Amino acid sequence: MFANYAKQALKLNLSNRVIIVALILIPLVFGTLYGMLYSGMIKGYEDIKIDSPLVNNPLLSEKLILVAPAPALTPIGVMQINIFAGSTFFTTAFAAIRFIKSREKKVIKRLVAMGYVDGQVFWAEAMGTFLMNIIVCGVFNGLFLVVSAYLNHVPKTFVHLLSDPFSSEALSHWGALTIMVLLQAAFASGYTMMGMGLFRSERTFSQLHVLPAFVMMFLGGALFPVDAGTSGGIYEWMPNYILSLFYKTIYTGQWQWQAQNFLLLAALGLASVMLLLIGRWRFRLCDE
Amino acid sequence: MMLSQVTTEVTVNPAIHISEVSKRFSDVIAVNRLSLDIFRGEIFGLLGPNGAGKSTLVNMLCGVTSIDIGDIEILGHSVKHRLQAQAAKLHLGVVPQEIALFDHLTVMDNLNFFAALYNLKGAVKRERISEALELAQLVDKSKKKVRTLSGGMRRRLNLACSILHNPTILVLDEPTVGIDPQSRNHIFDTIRKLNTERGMTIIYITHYMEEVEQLCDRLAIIDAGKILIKGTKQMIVESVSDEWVVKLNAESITEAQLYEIKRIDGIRHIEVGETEIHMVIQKNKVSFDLLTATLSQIGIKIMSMSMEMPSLESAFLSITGKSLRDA
Repeated sequence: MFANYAKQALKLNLSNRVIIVALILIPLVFGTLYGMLYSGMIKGYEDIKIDSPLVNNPLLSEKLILVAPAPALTPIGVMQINIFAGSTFFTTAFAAIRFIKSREKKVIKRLVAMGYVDGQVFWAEAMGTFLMNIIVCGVFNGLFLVVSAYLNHVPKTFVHLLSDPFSSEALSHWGALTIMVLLQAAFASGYTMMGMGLFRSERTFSQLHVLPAFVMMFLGGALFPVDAGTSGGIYEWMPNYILSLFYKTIYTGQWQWQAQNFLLLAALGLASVMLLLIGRWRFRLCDE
Repeated sequence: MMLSQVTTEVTVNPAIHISEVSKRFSDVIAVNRLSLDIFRGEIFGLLGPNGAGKSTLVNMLCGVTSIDIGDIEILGHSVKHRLQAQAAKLHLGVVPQEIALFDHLTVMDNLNFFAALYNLKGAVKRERISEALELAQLVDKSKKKVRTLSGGMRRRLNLACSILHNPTILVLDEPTVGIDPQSRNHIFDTIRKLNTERGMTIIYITHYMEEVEQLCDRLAIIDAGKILIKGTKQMIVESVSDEWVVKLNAESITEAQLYEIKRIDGIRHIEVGETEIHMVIQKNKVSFDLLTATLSQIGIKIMSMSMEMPSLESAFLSITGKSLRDA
């Protein structure tokens, strides 16, 4: 029963016209933009100039270049990545809207009469939403890789790892990218499932779900340059900022399996689980 | 009078056995110690004014609403026990009052969706969908999106989606709301076909008397969460009133003959028209045969005579009262 319902929930999610448009448009627009951004066609980075007398020292310059900090993202770079990270919260919301609408239309009554119980439907919906989000994020990243490979301007991007796809460095980045896609999909799914659990009116959910997403995007640097210091460092804790930071390090070939990164990934995973559990706690098929 | 005593006592195992069921929503008692048996293969009508507790009872039957007190058994399985309820629901089809379909999907996609949830696969699934489409007469609309269908077609599809798993018991909650007479007749025909050809037990919930009169073998009138009366239509009508209306067409009736008619014991009221006389008689005092014989004795040449029992509507209003139900 669970597998049946999960499969049907995924089909329903993917049959929604808005989701189909989002599936095509979001990867197309943002994938192209990022490809251009990372390939240098549009100014996404600022070159950090190292103004030091040592730079002119022929004996030390090579070492200095090696340890020089990575190029910093310009405000537009941060904002673009953030907008993608946040946009999944809007596309995924359609799964919740679809479910809440079907609750209002008493399709849920049919499900209960068929013998489905709360847990089966909730976890099957979660699975259907998670798979949909994996597709959204996967298509996005795939398109990004294609565009980036086509433009092929950046000296050391993730694309260049493809020249030796089984090297430990390439595998490490592939693994990190897979985890990032899964985590982004999980967080967006948790957000959606929380909505499914908390809301019974489609209109209320449609009006309210954008609010936390906008706040998160705002604080995480999708709407204004976070390096202006106006958000008081809170952006570092925003899921969309963490996601964009990790995507950047992966795509620029700078990913490291460090304790700090593990902690951030774990925090993101934990946050996803928390949202999911809040949704499950409040999720009821029955009227009371 | 204890109205609820008017009942047929059948001792076979019921398809649905409702035993002393109660449901309270804060300070409102929606269903109050209600007991009812619905037998295999019958079309049972549940009739009641708005807010009578009909939908709450159906929701408890389907498991949508929990039961506070009492129990409901479907084919011997209690709906209060999870495993038994799962087993019971395999035999249960529910047609909700609302159009519980996906508007953005086609007719076929909707049927496929529900068939998959009923765990139907392969040839069986195709066969059941094809049968349901034919039964609902929507074969040529199978690729149309639900939102483009008329109200009647949606209602028919709503019913078709509920019978894909060929249930033993089908519950229809006001399935003809807002549709034209043609679609309504089609739904009635479908229900009769399901009952006679597949032996489905049908529970038909409505507040339209004529639907119950046309369809149901037995019925119960429910109000304020209680069953006021149950039985066949005739039993219910007779229990409420013993007054029948006789329409008599005769050749010219003289004043003296009219006087004689008025003297017949059991005749309560007479209205004389140009060619027709309407009489309200007490059925327990004067039978049809006795009346015919008496009229002949008086010398009246009867051209035609018919006797009508009171309508279910008059019985319903007599039982539930005539005050408005706006609450």
